[in-house]
Amino acid sequence: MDVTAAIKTLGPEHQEVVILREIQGLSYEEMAEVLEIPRGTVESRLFRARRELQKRLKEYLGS
Amino acid sequence: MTDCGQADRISAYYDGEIPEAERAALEAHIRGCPLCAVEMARLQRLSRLIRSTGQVEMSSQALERLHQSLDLQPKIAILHMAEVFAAVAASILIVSGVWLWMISTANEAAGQIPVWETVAVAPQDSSGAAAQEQLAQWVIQDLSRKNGHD
Repeated sequence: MDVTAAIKTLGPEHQEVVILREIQGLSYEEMAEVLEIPRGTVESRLFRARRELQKRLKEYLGS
Repeated sequence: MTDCGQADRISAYYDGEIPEAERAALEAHIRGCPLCAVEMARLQRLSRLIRSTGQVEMSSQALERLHQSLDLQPKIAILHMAEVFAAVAASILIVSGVWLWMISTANEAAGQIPVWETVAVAPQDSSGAAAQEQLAQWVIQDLSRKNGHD
């Protein structure tokens, strides 16, 4: 599974935060504003999204 | 994946999003925690991998959600623009005020406004050629005075 495919398997909420942070480089505050969610939610959502991606991309990331 | 219970904070720390008050304590923890060091390395590898992919696509469902959020953004953008315009308008007012003050000071220093300038911008009556001739005389006199040909 390549990176794009792995991202697409995430839930929409997780895809958003990964793209906005990793590709667009938005801060948590900016993401909270764009997505209209609390900053704490951005933080926990991004953490869970990364965890999911790490599992899916294990073969590229090593241990 | 094993972690010490601080992995969510490590993710925020990696992004530079930990408040300053909390940062020193977290950094001290990371220095002494091999699991957090591994987590930091994982986050770096993941970021590099995502960014090296170039064009990353979202699912249509996620894209639609994001578009809906962004549709609400004009309100925020307008507020930001209004702030910028207010700042620019204030700057223009200040600069204009200073400029007008400098001009008036310079005019005072230079003395009276030449008669021909006052007449030249005044509404013309119908006296015609005589008035034009008088104006020309004033211009010549004024220029001669300025050039030291009195």
